[in-house]
Amino acid sequence: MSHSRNEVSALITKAGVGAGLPWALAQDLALAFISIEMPSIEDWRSLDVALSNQLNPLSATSETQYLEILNAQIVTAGPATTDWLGADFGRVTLHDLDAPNLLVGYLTVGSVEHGLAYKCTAEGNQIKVSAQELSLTRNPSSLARLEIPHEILESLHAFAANTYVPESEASRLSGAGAGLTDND
Amino acid sequence: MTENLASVPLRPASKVMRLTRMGASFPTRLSFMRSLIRQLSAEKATVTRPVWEMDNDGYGRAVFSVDLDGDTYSLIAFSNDLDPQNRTDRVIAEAWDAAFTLFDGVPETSDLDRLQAMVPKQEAGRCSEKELVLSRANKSMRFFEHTVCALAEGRQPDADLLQQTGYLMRTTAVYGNGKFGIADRSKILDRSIGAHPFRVEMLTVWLIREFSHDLVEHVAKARNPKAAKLSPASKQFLGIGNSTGLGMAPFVINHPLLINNWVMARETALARVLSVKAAKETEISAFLAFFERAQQHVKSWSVADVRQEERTRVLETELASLASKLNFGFLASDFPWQRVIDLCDSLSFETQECLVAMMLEPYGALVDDLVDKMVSTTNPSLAPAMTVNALVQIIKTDFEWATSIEFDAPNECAQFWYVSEEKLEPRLGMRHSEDGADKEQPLDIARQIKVLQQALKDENDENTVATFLQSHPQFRQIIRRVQSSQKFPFSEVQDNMIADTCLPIDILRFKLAFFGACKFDPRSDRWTRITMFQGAPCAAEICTANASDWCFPVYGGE
Repeated sequence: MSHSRNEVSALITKAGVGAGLPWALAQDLALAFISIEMPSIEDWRSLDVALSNQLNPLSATSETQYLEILNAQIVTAGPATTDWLGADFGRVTLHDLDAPNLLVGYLTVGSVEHGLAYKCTAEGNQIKVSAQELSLTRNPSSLARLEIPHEILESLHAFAANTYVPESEASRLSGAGAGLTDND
Repeated sequence: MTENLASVPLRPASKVMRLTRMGASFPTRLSFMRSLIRQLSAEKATVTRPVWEMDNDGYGRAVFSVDLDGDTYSLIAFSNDLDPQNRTDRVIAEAWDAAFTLFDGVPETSDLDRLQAMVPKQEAGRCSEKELVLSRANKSMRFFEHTVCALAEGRQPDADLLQQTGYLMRTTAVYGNGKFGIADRSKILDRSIGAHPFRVEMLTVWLIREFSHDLVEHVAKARNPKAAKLSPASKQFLGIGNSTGLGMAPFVINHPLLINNWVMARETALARVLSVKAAKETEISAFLAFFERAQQHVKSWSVADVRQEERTRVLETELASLASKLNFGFLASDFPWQRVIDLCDSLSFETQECLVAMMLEPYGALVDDLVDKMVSTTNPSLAPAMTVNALVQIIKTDFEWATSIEFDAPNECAQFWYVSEEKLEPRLGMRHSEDGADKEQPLDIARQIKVLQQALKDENDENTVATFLQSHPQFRQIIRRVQSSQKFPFSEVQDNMIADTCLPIDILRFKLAFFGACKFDPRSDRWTRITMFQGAPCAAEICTANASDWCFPVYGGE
């Protein structure tokens, strides 16, 4: 069963919030993931990792031009990387990134948002990212539909369910501001 | 034309983006239904009905196809027998009188069979990338059956009942952009139908209207082979109803750039008209004719909702009082439309916005190009190099409406938006008496801006946004919105969406007016019925009718 990109984006956003991310980071994660052209099974598993890891504050040190992010989590390090390079600072080094497969999604979004092309080099547990001006014109949403692996789909739905408010009689009767039948 | 135009500034966002005024919005000639009908007419679109497999009770399936700009689109309809006990317009419904999809192309029998198993299930089914829109509708039981009986007896439906109801069926959801497996909007972005907001959804609804006309005639004919057909006047006045709830409100908040573009187009159109130095006689005559028709339309707009009924009657009274002043002499002076605006500045918002819609009507050549600027495919961008100081200044300058709110006061945070577990229905709760606020949807834009302002106070002014966000990533989206406000001034509803005074019905009306809906009929402060395409040309006359002239619809009788 295939899903539309918009459907997957909405589900990842809800799953992200349900997993404990602030809305802003969940939305960025969703946008980054659906920007990956054809996610592999490893990419889907990386998404699950990103959602499952407990969110910690970003551990970063910076000099004038360089940003070092330690124990990097993609949900915070991905945006921090594109922000840093989008602000025209020199280079970002990510240490021990938890879901490196997803970095390409953040960089794709960043390329559209900031008109940049990125260069990544991996050395051991480090990924170094630098940028140069080069606007990409590809619309990230004009991509093929997605097949979500069954176990990942279940995991996303389970996280997303944490954002739903359980039913009560009062909410059923008044929460939507409408009655239960409409015969006229 | 340009010699006759002066430069007039747009109305400020602080005026037009307030809920009370948004809740008095009227459809204009830029509304999406209006521009769709113009396109259908300009292209001399022909609607065919290649499939009509209905039993005598009107249950079965049908296909309506139309060519538009070189592509064929087909409405596939499934009509079902529904127990009245299960007829609800809410999202929690699980069955409907009819279910629809707009198919990209002409469906094969195998497509129809596949979709017959899925489309009637709506949210519980799965569609494919071949389907562009998913929708469903319920009958107005009283009027549908009345019309069947009348036609079967060889007469037209009762004129009073026809005017009171205004439709045979009402849609209860029209889903697009990838929902429940249908195609992403990106699939049609490079087509004319995808280059305008909600055009593909409006096309679907217009074809559903055709279906409702054919269905009622079919059932009448099954009862009596000599049954009458709906008269052209009845058909034209019968629109398609719609029942809309809270789900529409988050859309307005979650698409700030799109909303900016809608309002920017309307306000630019108004500014262009206001800048006309001298109106031509034909333009004055046209305006006065629209004014008279609008008065009749408002007179026939009567609803049970006390708040709306009071407002409509005030509108009726104010239009009557204006009628004696708005004459040829008044409008023959310099800058006549600015004079009209000035004249009604102290009147109700309903009257002011109704007149805005009226003033645009004679000026299609001056304003219709703006419909091409109402789409947006982008999200607010982040400017990470901006300094904290610059961000603080934007908040100070542009967001006083948000930062002046005292959110510690119980009334200013009385409500919260949430999604119910039951079929994921959007709902609104009372924070101080109901559970669930910990799962609140982030529609509290004003409060987020105020919290951001507080957080920025502890930050070094010279730091960049990029640095600030390293330790405050939760502010990414709200900073994007704040930064976008300078380029997109109409992107924010300048009110507190969680205050006890926030009435979702105002947001619903704003959006529905841009669709082109009329006859707003609130069922509560968070739920409304409307009529779509009332007065619009039907398929049979789309090539010959005046495609622009159907605002403020009035029943023409037989």
